[in-house]
Amino acid sequence: MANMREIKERIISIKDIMKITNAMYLISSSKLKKARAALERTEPYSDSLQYTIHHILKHAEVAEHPFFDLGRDKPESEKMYGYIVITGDKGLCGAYNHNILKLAEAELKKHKNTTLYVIGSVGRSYFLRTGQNVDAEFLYSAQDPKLFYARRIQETLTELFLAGRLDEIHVIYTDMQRNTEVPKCFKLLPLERDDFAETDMDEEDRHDIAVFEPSPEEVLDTLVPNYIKGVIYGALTESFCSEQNARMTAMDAATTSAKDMIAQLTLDYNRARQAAITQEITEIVGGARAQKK
Amino acid sequence: MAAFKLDILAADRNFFHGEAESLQFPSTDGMRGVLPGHEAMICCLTAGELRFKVNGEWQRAVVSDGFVEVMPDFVRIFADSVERPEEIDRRRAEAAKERAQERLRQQLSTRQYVHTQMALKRAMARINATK
Repeated sequence: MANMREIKERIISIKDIMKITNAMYLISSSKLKKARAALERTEPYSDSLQYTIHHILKHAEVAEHPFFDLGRDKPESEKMYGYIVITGDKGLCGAYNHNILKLAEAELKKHKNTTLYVIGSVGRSYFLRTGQNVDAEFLYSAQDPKLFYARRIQETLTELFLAGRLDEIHVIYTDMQRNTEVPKCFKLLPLERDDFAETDMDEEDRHDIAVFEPSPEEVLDTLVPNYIKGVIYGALTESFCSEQNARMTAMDAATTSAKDMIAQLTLDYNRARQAAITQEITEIVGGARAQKK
Repeated sequence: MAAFKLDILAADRNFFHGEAESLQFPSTDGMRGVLPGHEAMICCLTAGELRFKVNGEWQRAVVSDGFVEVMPDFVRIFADSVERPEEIDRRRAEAAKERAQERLRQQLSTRQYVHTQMALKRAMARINATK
């Protein structure tokens, strides 16, 4: 009999968990819809931004600018690498956080001196626990990416870069590709001309040498921060969208397996009940027969 | 009439894509005009009012910071935000202007000062466009 009660209790608790996973599924699917719309709105901007910067750098004759500063001939042991790592604020989203942290770990192993700028509390607590060098004042949430945050992040980092406290800045984020999330690492600064992948868009009509107005330095002074802000904003929206998608898939899978478990347990429960009834009948029949004699 | 391809891209929307005959935009050193066949040029955009002519009709938009890529046959404008004058919430812009002016009276760090000035500029551009 105890067996029956145990099974019943398990079914109830699984049903309760299923309510949670189902609710989370619904929430993340509606958030995903919003995030996807935001992503679609920024995609033309960030795509052509990438392309235009590439084009500008290729066709402009700018000799020297701090953002191209590769002349930091420091030995590798003195170079400081900054990483912006974008993780989620919460767990329960499948392998999303795990994947991004794994990639970040792999990147961190490559260099001796690293500082982390973590967005999202999951990554923050993870890196603090593993004793990494995390910038404690860099506090941003991964929820609801806004251009305003991207601008502040950009200002903090370009300041550090121009002051020579960081020699290279990379972004580690999750890219949304159709329905899969791909963790990626992208170099932000310093700019290198060949970093910008050649795209075979209308390249022929773009071989004029452009002039910079009012002056190359002034234009690059505003253009590069603008570009960095755009990239950070793009990375934030991509990551947010990926997180919601990962959570939705994970919660959908959890709900499905909860249903499977309930089906199996109901079967077990019925079997146990049947066994109990059969046993009772056998006992009654046996007792009656014993009395007859 | 001669025309060039014009793309106006904001960080959160694709504002305009099509043929235009003329364009005027606020740059860091004053208003600039672009006609078809303009020399290749990269320029900074600042908060203000932008005008472009489509089919003989001038259209207006309020932009914030960004940059402009001018090529003989096309122009691309990248800005943080682009709005039509009729989309602007005048009262919000006025509140923002007052807030910025109030902040400018206080002691600010350099960065805060730049932020506030930019905010003031954006608010002024919005207010001027709705006049």
